[in-house]
Amino acid sequence: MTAIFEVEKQQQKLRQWIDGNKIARRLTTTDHKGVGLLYIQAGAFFAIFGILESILIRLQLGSPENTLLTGAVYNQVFTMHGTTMIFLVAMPLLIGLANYIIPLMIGARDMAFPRLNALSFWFFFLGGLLLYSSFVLGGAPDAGWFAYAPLTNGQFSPSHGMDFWALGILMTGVSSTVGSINFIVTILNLRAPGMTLFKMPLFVWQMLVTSFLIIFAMPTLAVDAILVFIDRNFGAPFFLASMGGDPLLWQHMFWFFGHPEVYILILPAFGLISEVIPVFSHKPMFGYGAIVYSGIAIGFLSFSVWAHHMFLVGMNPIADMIFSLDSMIIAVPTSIKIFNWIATMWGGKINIKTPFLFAAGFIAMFIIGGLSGVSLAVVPIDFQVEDTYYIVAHLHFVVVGGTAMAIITAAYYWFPKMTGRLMDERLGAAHFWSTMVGMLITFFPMHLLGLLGMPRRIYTYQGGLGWDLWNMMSTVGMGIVVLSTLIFAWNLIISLRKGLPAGNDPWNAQTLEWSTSSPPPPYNFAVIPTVHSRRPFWDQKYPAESEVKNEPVDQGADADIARTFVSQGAISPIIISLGLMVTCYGLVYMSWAIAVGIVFMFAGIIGWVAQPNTSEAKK
Amino acid sequence: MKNFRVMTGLFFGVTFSFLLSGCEGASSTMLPVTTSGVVISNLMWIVFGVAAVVFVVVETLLVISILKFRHKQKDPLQKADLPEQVEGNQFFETLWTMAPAIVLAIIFALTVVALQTVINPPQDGSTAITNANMLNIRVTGHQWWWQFDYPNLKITTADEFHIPVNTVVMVSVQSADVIHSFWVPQFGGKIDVIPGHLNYTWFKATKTGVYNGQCSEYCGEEHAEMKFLVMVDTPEDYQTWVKSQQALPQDVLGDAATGKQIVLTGVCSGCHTIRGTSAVGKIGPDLTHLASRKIFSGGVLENTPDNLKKWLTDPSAVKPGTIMPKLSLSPDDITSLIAYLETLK
Repeated sequence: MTAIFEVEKQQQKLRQWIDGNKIARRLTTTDHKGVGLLYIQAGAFFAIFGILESILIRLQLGSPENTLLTGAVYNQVFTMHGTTMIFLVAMPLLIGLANYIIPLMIGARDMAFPRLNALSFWFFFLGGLLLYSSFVLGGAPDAGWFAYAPLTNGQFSPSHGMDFWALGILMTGVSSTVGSINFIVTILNLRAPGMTLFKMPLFVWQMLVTSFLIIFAMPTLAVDAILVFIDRNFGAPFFLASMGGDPLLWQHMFWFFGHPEVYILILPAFGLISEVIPVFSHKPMFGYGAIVYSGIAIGFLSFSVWAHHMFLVGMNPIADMIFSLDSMIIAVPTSIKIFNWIATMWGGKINIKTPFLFAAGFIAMFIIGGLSGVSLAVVPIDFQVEDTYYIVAHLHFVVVGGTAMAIITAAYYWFPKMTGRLMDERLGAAHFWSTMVGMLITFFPMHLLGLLGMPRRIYTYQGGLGWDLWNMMSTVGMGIVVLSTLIFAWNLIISLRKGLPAGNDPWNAQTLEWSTSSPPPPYNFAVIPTVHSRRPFWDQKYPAESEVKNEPVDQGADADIARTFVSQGAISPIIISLGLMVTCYGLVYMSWAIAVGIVFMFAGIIGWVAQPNTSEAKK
Repeated sequence: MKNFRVMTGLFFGVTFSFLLSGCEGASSTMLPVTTSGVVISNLMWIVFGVAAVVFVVVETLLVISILKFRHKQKDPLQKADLPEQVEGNQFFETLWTMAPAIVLAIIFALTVVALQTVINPPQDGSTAITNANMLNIRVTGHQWWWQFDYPNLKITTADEFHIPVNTVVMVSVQSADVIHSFWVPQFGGKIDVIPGHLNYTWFKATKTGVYNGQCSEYCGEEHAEMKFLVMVDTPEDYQTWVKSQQALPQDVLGDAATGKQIVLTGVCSGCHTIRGTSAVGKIGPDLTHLASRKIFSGGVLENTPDNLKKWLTDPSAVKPGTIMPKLSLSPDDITSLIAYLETLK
């Protein structure tokens, strides 16, 4: 008995220390806004490395036969560039934004599983650190972010780099899968009264579809990563032809994940754009239903196109044609969205502020990326341009011109809500135009380079093939992109310090998150509103004549109780994640650290289960 | 307003000149020299043309809607000033669902037709030079060089191979280690080279000349330096080449003889083959007719005595990661070695 009392006393002491320490509070937060900010800050942190890697790549390729980087170093850099940008930047930033905004958008007080939310963050962040530690522990992974077998086998990749890759991917994969379960339960169960599925904001819809994609696609990657780990460390023959295995098994499983992955990257972006365009056009989204159904269609179809990444492996031509057809079909729901966005603008009264600029830029760039994507579905064309810079051009137009621009759009859009301050519009415009110019100069010539025969993933090239000028141009463009990113960083910094006060609703917006203060209080809503339409906040501001203006009722005993809500926070997610990280290091070196890590994880799980619930986190 | 127009005009102008410059360059897919390569480049022009039209139409709609409906009135607008709150329009939504679908259906039809032409070699065959109806070449991808065998002709070579013009060439590809990809941009599509799989491609070149090839699937440290050349010869030149490749090396005297001894008694014969000698190693490229080639070492170096010297002195300095070890040879030995290799025409 005394022992338990002692443990409780220690827990209370720890709790008091944490409550008194600002950084400890932020790290142990389980509040969706806190977790969302952690995701965003970590994503921005890894983005610095991802951008550094792309700078190194462009500096090396800016001139033929350059000797800035050896092949061995370059291969680590481009592998980490892809892995970082996809798993440690784009996904966390999107999930972080979703974490922050979705409960507010649906009128909830938090995610359904707050501690699980924090756990997702720590798995991702420590998984990223695990991955990056490989640089100083014998070399980073260097078999490409797609890690084709048998190059990843111990025979051809003797350093521990690929082990770090497999385990890092596993940690981040678990993070996203767990996070997606959280989103699905939250979105399906915690919507405000009256908010049917077809009254949800479109960003919530796209995140719902995305979450389903994640839980069906990520485990495939996880299994692939486990198999390659077993191949490398226990001599299993899964991917080794000489032992009866097949390298194509890796590819099929990888791309079965990999293609939905790119829709995981773009569907939330579509959702973000679908929030911004209506607000700044002062109109509802044109064809809300079509946006919803096309998102669902894309979700389903994305599982049927994976082998368009494998047109060259010698599949039966009938298989080629089926995947080609599906890849073209999936272009239809995508183009519907583009026309609907333009139709939303049409006839509106467009307030051209920075979020709108970037949203328009997204559409402009994504049209290009989407068109090059359609050309790739044409199998004979893909036969020529696969594995060339044409593909690099396509992917960067959709991921940078698409996903990254959407993330930036959301940053400008929700910065006032999260911080209570406005960002500078002139710096925003400068950021926008320099980004557009920089991106076009960096990535458009790459279409040409592919057509001129330049393969991808090469650390150097000989001069005189007609590639020199375009490579140099692309490198110059990269410089412009870096400058524009610095403008963005500067804007963020000074706006945080002395941006003008934003108020609740700086953009005259339409959805529930804008009805809260900026930043929102810990409890989000004193009284959960009842929703009657797709634009509940808009209706409060512009009610129909027949309606009495619906003053938000935030008086009453329930409201007072709600205002006392303080999110509890937890350290067990950190303990469990640290335990997993230690286990992963143990697996890399096959050492006793595995046991230590498992013990840590168990301790964290016990702490989790035993933690008393002292928060007022009720609906 | 003016800025938008200037930027848009600049963009289109620059884009157009970009596209035109695709028509140059020694490895350009837009300058095909095979029958299937031409089919693909024609299809590219069609698809890029359609894409350009769609691009112009949609981007113009985007730009016009922004310019036409931008509004400087200070937010928040009064209710009376709000634009019409249109939620949708069945006609237009149907239109822009059907239109892309129809365009894509047409493109898919073109895809199917082109794919059949590109995948299947022509049934009628072509004037064959050799005894076989078609020329068969077996390509083996190694980290980081290409091996070429002509099984019917008993020829083995590396880094470059010859084919006669206007002949259907059947190529089978296999890998000795990891996944590579066999690609000659001016010939047409590439084919992946996968351990445990035997893949096929074919081409019929219609123009003589020398064409660049390069590995197109990331295969490790020196993927960038895994190149090859294809020589498309007239039938007469091709026969000359075949005969010289089939011939065994002559006897040698003097410094070259010293070099030959180094090869046969040293580590070289463990990895390399020189037909007609006791060097029968299968790990590195066949050197029987090394001196007949323009390039060596996976296409990285031009085949000159100076480059041979660089390579033999320290292979890893030229191509880090190569499995060819540093030979413990004196500079004199290397000179003799080069003298011998130069006789292997």
